[in-house]
Amino acid sequence: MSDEILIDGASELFDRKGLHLSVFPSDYRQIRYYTLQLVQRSRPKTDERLLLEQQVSEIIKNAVKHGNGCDPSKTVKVWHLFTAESARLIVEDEGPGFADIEKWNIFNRKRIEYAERGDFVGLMSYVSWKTKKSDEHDGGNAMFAALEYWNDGVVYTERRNCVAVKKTFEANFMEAGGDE
Amino acid sequence: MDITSTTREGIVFLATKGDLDMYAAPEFKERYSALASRDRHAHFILDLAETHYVDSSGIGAIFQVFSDVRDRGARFCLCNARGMVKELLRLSRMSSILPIETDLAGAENRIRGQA
Amino acid sequence: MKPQAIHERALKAATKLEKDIDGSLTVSGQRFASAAAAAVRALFPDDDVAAVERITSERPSVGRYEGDGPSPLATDKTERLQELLEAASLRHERKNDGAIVDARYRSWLLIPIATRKETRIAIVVARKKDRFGEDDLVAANSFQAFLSQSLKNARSRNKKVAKADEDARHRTLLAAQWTIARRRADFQGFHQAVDLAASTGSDVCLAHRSNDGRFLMCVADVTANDPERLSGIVYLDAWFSILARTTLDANGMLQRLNADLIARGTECYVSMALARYLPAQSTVEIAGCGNACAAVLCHDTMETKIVEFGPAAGIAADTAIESRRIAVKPGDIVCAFTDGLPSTRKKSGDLYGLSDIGEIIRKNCYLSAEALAERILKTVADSGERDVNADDRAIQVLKIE
Repeated sequence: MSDEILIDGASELFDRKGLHLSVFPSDYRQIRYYTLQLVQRSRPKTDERLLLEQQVSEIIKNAVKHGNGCDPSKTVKVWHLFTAESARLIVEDEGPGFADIEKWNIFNRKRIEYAERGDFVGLMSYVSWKTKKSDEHDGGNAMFAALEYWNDGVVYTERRNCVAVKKTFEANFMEAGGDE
Repeated sequence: MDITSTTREGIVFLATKGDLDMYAAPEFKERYSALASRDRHAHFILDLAETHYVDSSGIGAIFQVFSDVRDRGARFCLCNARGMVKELLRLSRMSSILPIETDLAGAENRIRGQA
Repeated sequence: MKPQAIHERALKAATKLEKDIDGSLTVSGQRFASAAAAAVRALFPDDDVAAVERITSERPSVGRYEGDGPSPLATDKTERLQELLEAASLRHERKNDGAIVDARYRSWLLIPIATRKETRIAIVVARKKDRFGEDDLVAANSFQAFLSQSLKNARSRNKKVAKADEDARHRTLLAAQWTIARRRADFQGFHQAVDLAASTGSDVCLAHRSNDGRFLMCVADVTANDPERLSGIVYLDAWFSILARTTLDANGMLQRLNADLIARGTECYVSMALARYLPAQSTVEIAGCGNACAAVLCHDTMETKIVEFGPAAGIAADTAIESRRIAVKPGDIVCAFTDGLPSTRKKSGDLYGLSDIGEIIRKNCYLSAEALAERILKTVADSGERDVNADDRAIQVLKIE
């Protein structure tokens, strides 16, 4: 697991072979619907699947809202593969790209330092990453959780309008029999 | 999402039912603002027992409410965060900042105990 | 202790463990840990016993279970309890420093239960008055092997039951889907065809002919997880059956569907393309929502118009339903199809797309409704890449006669 967002278009996480492809218009109202279309056949409905659904929806939302400006004429392309063992996602929008990745990484490092020091008063100033493009309804905390959740990496292309993520699930120990 | 509220002895008990997501977060904040404007000194308890899904907008809304309550000199406590809600609070490290109790009684004790 | 006595106690302990965990189909880690502790207590009835369980490997999380009797553990701290889970083999502490096991115990024994080369559960047996003897260690060693095998068996059974449970649920969904798909509405110039090989259990085709000659057809794609998808399909079947007998127009029907889905409050969305043919007025009303589509071929101009729709039903109460009324003549063709067709991935990597579907309709418009529906399905399936983007495909063709 990396503790920062990487920029590497050559990352193996961008290998689209074997991944399904869905293309959505950038309709903000339908983000959860699009997300459910992607994850509905992945894992049984449990808290784990709900968390997967939430994490996927955040990436789709970023593409729809911040990438494509909620313009339904612009599309979001999603390559995806969800299995019992892992979840892979590549999301590409038509926008200008996530310009401030480096600044975000610095911000996040500071946030983690405060948290690990137990300085929760200091941490209060780092709960939310907001830019000029953010509005009052953006929580500003999605990427913090994403970096913790997608334990095999969060990587952007050099153009920064395409992100690839991967999560390897921990097997439910008591249901993983037969592999001794 | 449905939001219910009751007030008892200076504490507003807010309970959400349904998903506190990007679509419900604006309504949640509006409801809080309306309640806070009625009594600037009221403490707030948010009960998430009937909310099984929350996203970054929901977490952001909860944090905004917490900040506002604190700025007014009152107290805030969250309770009954379970499943993916609890996990997302942990992943975003909000569980280190927000006052959280396991259940409603614990939340009420915490607020009254500090008063 | 005589070997006979050890043997009898071990047998009693093993029987107790099997009785405790055999009653239900699946066994959780916590249940197994508690049952293992109780079984060890039967093996060492004069000693105090506790169990610790490694709950996850991703981040430190350890559960502890005492059950009946006082707990010998001196600490609640995860870091200390994790030490117990580092052991791969039996551990006998002849002197107790009071850090992990309470100082009132003179000595203690650790029985790790390992599987996949990792200790997931560890049983602590603590003795107040003296140390464990050789007989105790022999008994603990043999019982440890039995516990490890029992854990392995429990995990294997859990896996089979979980798979069987999931398979059964999905088979029920597919059976319901097939029951609906096999129904035929007898109407001149109409045919529906489905390709359910992907087994996603998401698409349904419905059709109804009224006594007054009106004809209603719709294809729908339900987006929800398995249990809610089954309930969604059953609901749609009933919804269609009732509304087909009303005088609501196509737009009104979809509005009703949207309102009902919002009111149900479950995470279930529907994409639908619905066509209502009024022969007396030579008109077709087309309405829809989500990513289902309709196509209308005008026989005079040989042009195919693709009709796309707005958000799926079940998203927002104020969703505007896209609909239109089209005048039709004999030879015109109306198709309704689910997104499984345009989202088929070609071998080139591109999606099939709506204009390609329109072109197939145009090129094959001379065929009967049945032949056209089958030709469209076959053409898309043959040129699609297998194993990716697999989805149900459903199409209805109405050739105006």
